[in-house]
Amino acid sequence: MSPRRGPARRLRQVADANPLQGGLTGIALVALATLGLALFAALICVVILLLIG
Amino acid sequence: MLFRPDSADFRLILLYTARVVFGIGLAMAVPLAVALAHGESADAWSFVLAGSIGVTVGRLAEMTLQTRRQLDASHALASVAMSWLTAPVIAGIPLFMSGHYASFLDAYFEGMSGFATIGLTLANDLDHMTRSVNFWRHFMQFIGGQGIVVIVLTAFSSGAGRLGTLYSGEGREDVILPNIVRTARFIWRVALIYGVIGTGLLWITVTLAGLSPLNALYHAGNLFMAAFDTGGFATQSTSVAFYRSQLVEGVLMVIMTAGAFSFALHYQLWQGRREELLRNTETRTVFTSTLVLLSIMVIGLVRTGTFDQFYPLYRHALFNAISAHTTTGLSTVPGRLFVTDWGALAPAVLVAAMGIGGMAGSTAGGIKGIRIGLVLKGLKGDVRRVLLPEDAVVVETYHAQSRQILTSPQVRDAALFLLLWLGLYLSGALMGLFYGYPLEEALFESVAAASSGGLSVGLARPDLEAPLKITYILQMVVGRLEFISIFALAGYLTSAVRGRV
Repeated sequence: MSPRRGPARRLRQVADANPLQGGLTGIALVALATLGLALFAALICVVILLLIG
Repeated sequence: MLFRPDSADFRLILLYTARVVFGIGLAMAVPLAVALAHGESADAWSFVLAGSIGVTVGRLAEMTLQTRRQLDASHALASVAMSWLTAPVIAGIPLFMSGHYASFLDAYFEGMSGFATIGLTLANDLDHMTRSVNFWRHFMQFIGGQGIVVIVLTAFSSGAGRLGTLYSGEGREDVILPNIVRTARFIWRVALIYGVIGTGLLWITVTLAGLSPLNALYHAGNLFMAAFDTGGFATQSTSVAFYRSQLVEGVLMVIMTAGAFSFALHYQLWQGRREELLRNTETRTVFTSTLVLLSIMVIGLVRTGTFDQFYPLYRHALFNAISAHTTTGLSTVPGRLFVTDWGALAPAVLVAAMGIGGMAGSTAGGIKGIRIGLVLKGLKGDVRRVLLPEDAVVVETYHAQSRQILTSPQVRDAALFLLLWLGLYLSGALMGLFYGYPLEEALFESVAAASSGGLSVGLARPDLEAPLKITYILQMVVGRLEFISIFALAGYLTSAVRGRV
């Protein structure tokens, strides 16, 4: 790798040169975060239904 | 002391406003193409007329308003405010001509609600609206979500340095890439790439829900724009409940969440930096707040007996909590039920969720997670200072791409904005109370308008009192632009009257 190619340069290349790959990675991570939130929400619903339902 | 602006100042502001009007006129080519494809000739003519007015105004301004005066920060901020107040005038023409709006004020309200990605609607008989006009409502959200001024000016202007204030004047703070033009282009790249992926997923799920593939594509495109731009308009009056599909709701929850993430965070996620999701102070604040508010909402719903089975409780509470917190406004139940069937606690939670909103530098509105996070961290630092020995050095940090030390001015700024937002919410609620609406409904609708939350308990309807419609319009634009640009425009107008030459 050329010494002038720092991390910032590589970051820009992924966003600029391969946006579809970046977009797929991005939306997959958002989906993962939403799934995590949904799992916590399910747990909350179960606990509250058990306690006061 | 105020200095009276001269004609060159006003010419410059009007010139930049006209450039945005020109861009809106050009944008009407898209719904025009939809109208032609569906044989909606009357609507096609209305788009030709409104588009022509926009383009003509823009070209006339270029010919007559040129000035040697350089654009400074105050010009830029006032131009942004003027542009946002003017764009719905042009955008409202085809809406008004469609016959679905009782007055031009209603069409202007809809235009502002679209561009500011609010989601409140005054349309009559939405279920029988033509495809092109309904598409235009959603397309306005797509344009406004990313920023009308930034897109128009990055497309038609040179000189990236001048765009900085215009960019921040639209309520954006993050400069992700070295200059504004590249940042704006990255924002549009994210929107377009997610648009392809999101529309594709929604197309599949809406088709599985029972719509014909061509019909499903139309719905999917509109749903994507409403969800990613946290807009909340729907093609049908029953919103998301129309599809009766958990799959559609699941995909929409992901897209709404993506819309509420800042573009700076998307930039990190595009590189696969998943650790940023867990470390980022704003992400943590928004996720914690969503879970806390969801818990309170579930307690309220269970106590009132609205849902006594796990699945309907989980489905409706989760979707509507995410929709409110991302300030989208899509809903799985008719809005009126929030005040008639959901008790007192659950709608109060929706108000709080809309009020807090998404992340700064996203398409979402509201106070924003980072401000809440910084104020809470500042508070924590103050408590520690009281509890620790006097000579102890207390340092609070926050994470936004990297670990940073929290400074007092940052906490003060965040607290100031918090107060401004609370004042904005309160002002609309007071107007609602003045017209005799109950506190719960007045506050709900006010926060929905100002925060771009868009969930409605039914106050926003065609027969709403005109002053209240105007109040909501003002709340929409002030909230979308986050105060400063509107203050700058008000300052200009005051200086024109009271300033010294």
